[in-house]
Amino acid sequence: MTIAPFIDNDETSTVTSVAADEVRTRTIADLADDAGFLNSRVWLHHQDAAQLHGETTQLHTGTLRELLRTRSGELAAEPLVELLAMLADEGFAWRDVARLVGVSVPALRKWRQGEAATGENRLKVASLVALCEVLRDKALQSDPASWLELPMLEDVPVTGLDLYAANRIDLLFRRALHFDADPETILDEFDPSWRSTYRGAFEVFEAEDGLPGIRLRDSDG
Amino acid sequence: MTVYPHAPLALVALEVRFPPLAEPYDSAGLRRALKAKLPIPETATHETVTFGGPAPLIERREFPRLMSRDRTTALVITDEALVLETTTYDGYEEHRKLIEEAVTAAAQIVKPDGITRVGMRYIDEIRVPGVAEAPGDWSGWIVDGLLVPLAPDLHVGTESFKPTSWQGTATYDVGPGAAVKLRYGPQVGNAVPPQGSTRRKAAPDPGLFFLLDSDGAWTPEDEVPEFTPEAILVACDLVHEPLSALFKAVGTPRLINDVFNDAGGQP
Repeated sequence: MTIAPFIDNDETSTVTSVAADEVRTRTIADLADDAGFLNSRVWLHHQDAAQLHGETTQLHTGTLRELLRTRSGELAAEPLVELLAMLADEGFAWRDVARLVGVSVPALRKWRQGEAATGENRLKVASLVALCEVLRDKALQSDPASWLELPMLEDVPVTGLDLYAANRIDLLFRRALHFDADPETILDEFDPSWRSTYRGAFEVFEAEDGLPGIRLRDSDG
Repeated sequence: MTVYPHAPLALVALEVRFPPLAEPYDSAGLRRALKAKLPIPETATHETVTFGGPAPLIERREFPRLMSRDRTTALVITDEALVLETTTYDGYEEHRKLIEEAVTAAAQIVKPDGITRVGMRYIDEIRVPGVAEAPGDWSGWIVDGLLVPLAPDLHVGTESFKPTSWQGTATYDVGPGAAVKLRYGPQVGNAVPPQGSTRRKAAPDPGLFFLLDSDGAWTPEDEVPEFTPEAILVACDLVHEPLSALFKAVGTPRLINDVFNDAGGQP
């Protein structure tokens, strides 16, 4: 419930700040207005790259998801061949693109040669392009494709591509924005059994002949 | 406690502020706890659009809102405040029961770490038949103490100056950590929109009215107390008493008899 302004604010400006008692019991509408004003004021004050870097870590992942959704819709209007060329320029392997879009590599090859795709698949390709834009612009990842291929932990082969493929954009953005985000916490949310899966009693190693072998993990595992 | 038939009360709001929550609360549990009185869930969304980067940045904040079926009562709990507001008021004793129910649910489910402020605000739109042209001649209806800007002896030279608009504020200390702030004066339209997020039943037509915006608040002076229903209700009682007394002192007996009781009253 918004309370109509009691005072007509047509008043002479002053250089000296005039103290105003802003402490009042707020209504529901006041709560929303205060939050929006505070956010707007904070963002308008921050313009340089260093401050933007710090502030991107404070972005709510929901905000990035909204950006991703909006930008995906815009990019979906672009020719599919051009969208795929953008992904190639980003450095994606076609097998990864095929996996993330949910099609075969041959199907992807046909699209690259000009064949049409369904609207749903076009949007998926556009979403991947949009993801790179958002990661680069808002999460300061200069090479999004390479970053997405990085494993969460050295001995755990779960990557950002896996998070994206599983539609866990929330975890992906958390990892991207919050540089102090604990990878194990993110893995716990992604796959609670990851420890037994990737850090079980056995481990894969490269044997003397160059081929992979399996052995019991040692106690320092 | 007097409840006048034609009360000028437009809105009552309770706000309890607390330290920012460390994590989201169980909104589904809150909804279950208050289903009897506030069964209608909604979401209040506020978007902030920020320009300055390569693309507009849209930030959306959502607040769960629980409403009564007739949409005249609403509760919102954010990560730093609880607000309970209503446009239907059957006297403080009845309203206190709703407050108790809301803050008890909040204590059990939201579990704030303390209380940093308790405020109660009453918004009255006093309309008097025949007083329709701004700023209005309220003498005889509102006590003279609130009509100072219209004092007839305000002269400059031979001219008698009358304001075209005016307002007043007064703050009263009413106890340890407690104060009441009164904003008053003529206004045109509605102070509280009839079809806002909290609906007003039988809202008056927009026009000239005398606003009483009474805001009583208590803030802890020493340590931050625990968030308990008992502590909140004590604070509500503490500020309600002077709010009620102030309301009764503002109107003349004529206002009460001819307007409120030809109708009604308030706290």
